[in-house]
Amino acid sequence: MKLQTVFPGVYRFSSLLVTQNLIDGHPVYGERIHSIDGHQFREWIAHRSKLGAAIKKGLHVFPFHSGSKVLYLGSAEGTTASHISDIIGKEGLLVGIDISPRAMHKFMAVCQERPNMLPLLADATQPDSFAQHLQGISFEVLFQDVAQPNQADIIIRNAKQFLSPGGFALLTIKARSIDSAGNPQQLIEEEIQPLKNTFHILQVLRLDPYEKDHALVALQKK
Amino acid sequence: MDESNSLRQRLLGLAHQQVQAAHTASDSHIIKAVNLSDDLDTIINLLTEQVREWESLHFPEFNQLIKEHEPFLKLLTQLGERRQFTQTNIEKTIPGLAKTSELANAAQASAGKEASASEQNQIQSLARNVLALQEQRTQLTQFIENQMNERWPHFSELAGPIVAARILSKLGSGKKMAFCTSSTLQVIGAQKALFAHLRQKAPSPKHGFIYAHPSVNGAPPEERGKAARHLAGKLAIAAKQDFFSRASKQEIAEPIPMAPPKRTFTDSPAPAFKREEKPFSKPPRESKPYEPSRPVRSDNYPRKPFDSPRPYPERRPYSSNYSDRGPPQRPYPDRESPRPYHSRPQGDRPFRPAGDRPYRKNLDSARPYERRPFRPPQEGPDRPVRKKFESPRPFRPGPEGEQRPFRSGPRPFPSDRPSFRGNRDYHNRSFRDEARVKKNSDRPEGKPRGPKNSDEPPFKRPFKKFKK
Repeated sequence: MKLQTVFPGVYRFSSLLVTQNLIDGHPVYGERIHSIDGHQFREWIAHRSKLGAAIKKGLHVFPFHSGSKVLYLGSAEGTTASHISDIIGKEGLLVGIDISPRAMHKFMAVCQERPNMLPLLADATQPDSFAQHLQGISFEVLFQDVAQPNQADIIIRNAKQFLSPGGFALLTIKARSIDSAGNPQQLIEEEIQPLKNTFHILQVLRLDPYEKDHALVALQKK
Repeated sequence: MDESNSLRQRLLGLAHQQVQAAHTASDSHIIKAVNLSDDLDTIINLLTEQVREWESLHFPEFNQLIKEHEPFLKLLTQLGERRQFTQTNIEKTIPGLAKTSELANAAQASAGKEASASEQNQIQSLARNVLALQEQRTQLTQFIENQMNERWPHFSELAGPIVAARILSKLGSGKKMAFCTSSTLQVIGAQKALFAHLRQKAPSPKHGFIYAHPSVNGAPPEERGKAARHLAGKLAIAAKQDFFSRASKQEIAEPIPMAPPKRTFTDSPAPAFKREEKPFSKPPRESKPYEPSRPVRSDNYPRKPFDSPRPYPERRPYSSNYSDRGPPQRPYPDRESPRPYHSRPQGDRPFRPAGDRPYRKNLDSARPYERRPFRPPQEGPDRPVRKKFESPRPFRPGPEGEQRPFRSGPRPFPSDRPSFRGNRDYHNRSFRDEARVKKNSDRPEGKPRGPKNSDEPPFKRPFKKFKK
């Protein structure tokens, strides 16, 4: 079975999406490990990772490459963050921010193992509260996966503070967090409207059937 | 490189400290205790059932006589074998047990098999474990109460420690509870009803977990919403008080008083307000004898002899055609609905006079003239006349000049095409259509269908006679 490159660092292996493992022999969240041509690849499970679901649904904006600096808002236990850290390699940097202490506890274990991942227990809605820790780092990519009603506001504020101009942002919108009983498509479109001032909107993808009523928006900072 | 290393160490150390602080300040242990108590209930019930079923192999009467779990388990752990179940032993173990003598007698003459030592061992050890779990369950409740009284004194005093703990565990953290609105506290626990209401499928829920509070479930049903609302308002204040000040109960002067109810619920049902007696705008209707509002087909109608085919006259009001049993029940709702296939006539039925046959058989029949002839309802001592059926359809004069209920437009004529799944047109026709068909055809009435001369084939395609 051949290994096809989907993006630099992301491969397709007979209908599975895989990334090459940064630290051999260590799965992160119980995913399967495949050994191909002497290298280890970790399976990227689409229904557990929104970025994996977006790639399977046909994402064509992929700003992650070897050595990029990523700010991940809402990293939780580090399932998607681990795959991004595989892609960016040892030269890259990923800072994962989450508000829940329990998830951060597990994320810290992943960060201990992987040298390119850093944890931060902070509230993504208050970027000033953790800006001091991230002084001097200019991020190229901003990935946001927080389930909050004001997701557009959060990304605008964080992008203004941390994202370099021309940098890319990937925003996951959960319609049910905005309004638990409304038309999801409408809610998603309304949420994207205020982003047009700060960003160019490159792609909007619905993540059904992997995630119900979710969308991933690919943006570039103006 | 050193910079990045120092950054890494700094952030890892910081995260460690923050997680530790967060765990110390949280109410996670109360939430875990609440979840555990629910799970323990399920587990204890499951295991007790197992014990009972196993023991009933050896001593089935024991299971049937003692329905409460605690004496059952106690006797089982202390006495064990069936032989030990004597009057004195039982009285020693549980002094006030109701069915002691019956149990002792049943032990002598039991229908179960004799238990071996190892089996008895198994059952007894399971019973002991269940008793230990029950003990843990009661201790857990005590733990929850102590913790809630310590950390949320006003909130638990107002709502009761268990209800308060449930609300806390549902919301997830004390901070969320402090910042909660009173309407959230009112309905928390009734999520299914709340979201059904938000999707406009149901009215709003009045209460969630706070239903367990005596002021809510003790109130009469029409006052429960008000009681729930008032209680939730006070609870919101109490939660904020506990979160922001965390003062102990003794330091605060007095707890928040509940507003006294506007009426005492122990009174006999007297209305809270007097309804004004308004006079009726119209006088009540007098009952009039039955008078049909339109000409009703009666025995005067010129009827042809019953053995000649004739169009069925018209659609009559429902009541007039049925016996006093009323309109037919399913599966024959009305004459227009398609009849099920099994009621199709099988071949040629011999004609039988209509007479006083029950209506059901008549309605099944294929031949319209076999149906029950119309008779106006006759009033008698045992036959109350049903009230007139008001047809929702407007009355318009029909082609014959008589008034009949019409549908809003001309009925579609049954098509001449044969239908593949049986003759649907036969079932869906109306009798006016049949009359129209019979009028329009050039077949003289009374003559059977068939070729006019022997040169013609015996039937014309499409062959309309229905098959089995």
